[in-house]
Amino acid sequence: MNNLNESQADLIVQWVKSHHLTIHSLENEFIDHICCDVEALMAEGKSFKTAFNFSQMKLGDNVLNGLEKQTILQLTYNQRVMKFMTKLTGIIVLFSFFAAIISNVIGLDYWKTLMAGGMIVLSIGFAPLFFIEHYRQQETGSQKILHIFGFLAAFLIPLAAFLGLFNSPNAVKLLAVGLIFLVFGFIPLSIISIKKDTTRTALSGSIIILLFFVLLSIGFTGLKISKDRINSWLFISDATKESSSLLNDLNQSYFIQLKNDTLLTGKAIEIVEKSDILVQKMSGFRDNFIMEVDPSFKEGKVFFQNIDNHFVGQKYLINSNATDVLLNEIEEYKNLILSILTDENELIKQNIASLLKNDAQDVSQDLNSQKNFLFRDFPAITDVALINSMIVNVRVVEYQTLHYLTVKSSIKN
Amino acid sequence: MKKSINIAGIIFLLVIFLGIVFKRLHYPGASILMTFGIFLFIAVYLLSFLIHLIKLAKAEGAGINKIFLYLGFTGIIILTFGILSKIMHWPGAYYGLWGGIGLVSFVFLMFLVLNIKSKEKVSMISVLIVVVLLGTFSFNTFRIGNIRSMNDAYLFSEASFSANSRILWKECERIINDQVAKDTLASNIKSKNDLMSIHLKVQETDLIIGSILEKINIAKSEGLTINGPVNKSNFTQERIYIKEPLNKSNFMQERIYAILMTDEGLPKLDRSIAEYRKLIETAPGMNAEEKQKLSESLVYPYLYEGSGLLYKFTGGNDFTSDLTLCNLMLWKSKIWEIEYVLLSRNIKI
Repeated sequence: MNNLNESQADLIVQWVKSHHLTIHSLENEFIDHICCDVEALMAEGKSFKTAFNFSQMKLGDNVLNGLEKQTILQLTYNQRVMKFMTKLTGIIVLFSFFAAIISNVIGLDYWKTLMAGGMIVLSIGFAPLFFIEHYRQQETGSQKILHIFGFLAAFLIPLAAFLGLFNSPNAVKLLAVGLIFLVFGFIPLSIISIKKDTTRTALSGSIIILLFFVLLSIGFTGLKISKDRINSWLFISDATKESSSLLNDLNQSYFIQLKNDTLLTGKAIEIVEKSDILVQKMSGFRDNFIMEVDPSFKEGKVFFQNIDNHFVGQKYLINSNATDVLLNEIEEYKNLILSILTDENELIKQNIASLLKNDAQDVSQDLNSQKNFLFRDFPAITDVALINSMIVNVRVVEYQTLHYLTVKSSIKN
Repeated sequence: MKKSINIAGIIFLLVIFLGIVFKRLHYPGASILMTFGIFLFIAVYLLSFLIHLIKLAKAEGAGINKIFLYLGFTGIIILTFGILSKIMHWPGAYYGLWGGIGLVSFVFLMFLVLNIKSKEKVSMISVLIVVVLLGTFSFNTFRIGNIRSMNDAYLFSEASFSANSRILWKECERIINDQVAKDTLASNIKSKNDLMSIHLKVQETDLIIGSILEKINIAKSEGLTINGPVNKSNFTQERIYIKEPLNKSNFMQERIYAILMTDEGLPKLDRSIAEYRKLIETAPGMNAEEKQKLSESLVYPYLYEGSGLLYKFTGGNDFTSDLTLCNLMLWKSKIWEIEYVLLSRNIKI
């Protein structure tokens, strides 16, 4: 095949350019096509001039402009469809969100489904469509990267919200990643790309407002229980500590009385010893939990770090073997006490079984069920107060048993 | 928009950022920093930005966009104060959050519907503002909604206090009947009378708490079927401080409030406990320091300023029936515990 020389190629370029096409890529396509056609004709033995004329005749005068018109129409149609789809998904998102708000206000249950539906359409519908539409218009690399960061944030944040409905542990991670793309990717690149023209301050203003909402959102997502709730649980926790200490003193007075009864002394010693060991273990368990939650905690301090954290109970108590061991020991303690009491004291037995029950169900549940009932989703201070309440319950059971034995002893005497 | 306004906006953002960091680290001053930062940002920066946008809209002759701008900014301001109230645990957060986000999403919806044919270019930044607003609002609403309520914890602690108060009530009754009432020694008459007065006062206080508990339990059982609004004429005391707005779901809270704040409720309990504390000061068998310590144990240590009796006896303003029952049972347990300590100091048990 004959190759065109530079001047021949220039002639073809000039001829195509004389049509004043507006789509640059289409212009290149035409040049390439005509060059190939001319080269093929030259290979058949025709001169460049004859081959070029023949090629021009084949195309005709208005073909290039006509083809460009058709292409423009086709492109505009695609763009229109994309723009319409973007707006449609945007309307669906906002409509479902607005419907969710109205449903919540009037007390309809399915508002969460509507809101989550809106979030998933926002994430996998609106965000990609909007991104593609805008990405194509960008010419520089930095603008393209900026839009990629923006898309990732717009994709991940609503997806995290959607997963939040299902209590997914990945929801927080996705939200954090989305915000990182926004704060450390999109916003710095936007600031760098601001040109020194009339729109500069307005664009900076939009970025500042975006940052304002990012900050508010970070503050909002870090929301925990109020200080007055913490104080209330501290008060409950302190009160249970005082109660268990007082009950211990009371139990000691009964124990002293039972020491005079040679038949019942052995049982009393066993009860007191077992109760003391269990209370000691529970206190150690509570203190260990506080130390795990806040390693810098020192005795005598009222507050500790993460006192309001709803998720440390799951990490340090529910997922811990020490909790299983403790709950098993409470069960063993309950069995011991029930074995000491005779059959005629059914009421006391029921009371004791009820006090040492660590579950909402009437029937005895497995350890996981008990752990979840006691510690799932409660703030750390509530977990501490509940362990203190469990200690009070052990002391109450100890009291009831010693009191029963004392009454039995006095009747006998 | 002037460059100086943008600089001021960045400074306000830094103040808000510091406030959030302080809040996370439980440092003092977090609330002041956040509140001032947000107030100034809205009052200075957001309003300047609004004026700038209105001027642009005017120059382009877009009349309807001005209405969207006014409504949108109103929604954003309401939402911002809703978020601030939620973070600070102020009242009215519910209205601010749901009202604000409702208005903002409505404005955006109308903007999209009515501006379909406009040539207005929506930038990535404005889309991201909407995404951040809607996304984090939904995320937090789901997350908070998924966290289990603390009612099980209150019920668990209430059972412990209940068992403890029963034991100490029985013990105090036993000591009073078996030892104090039977003691006829002339030298102990004053002590005996003092201890009897204290016992009668504790019995009276116990009855007051018992009566409130009974009313709340009745309201709790009735609350399952009643859907009508509470009769506000039942309120005999000035409304003190309730965090959540009055709506159907808070009917129970309003009902409990009405029970607690009538004169037969917490005011009567407060008077009775004050009288009990006075009697402790005259109790026999203890030195002044010990008596003061006992008396102080009947004072709520974390009294929230300005919130009065409701907070003192229920421990939290956003109270529920289970929270109230637990805290009242705590007080019941406490009054008998203190009497037991007093008796054990005077009588050989």
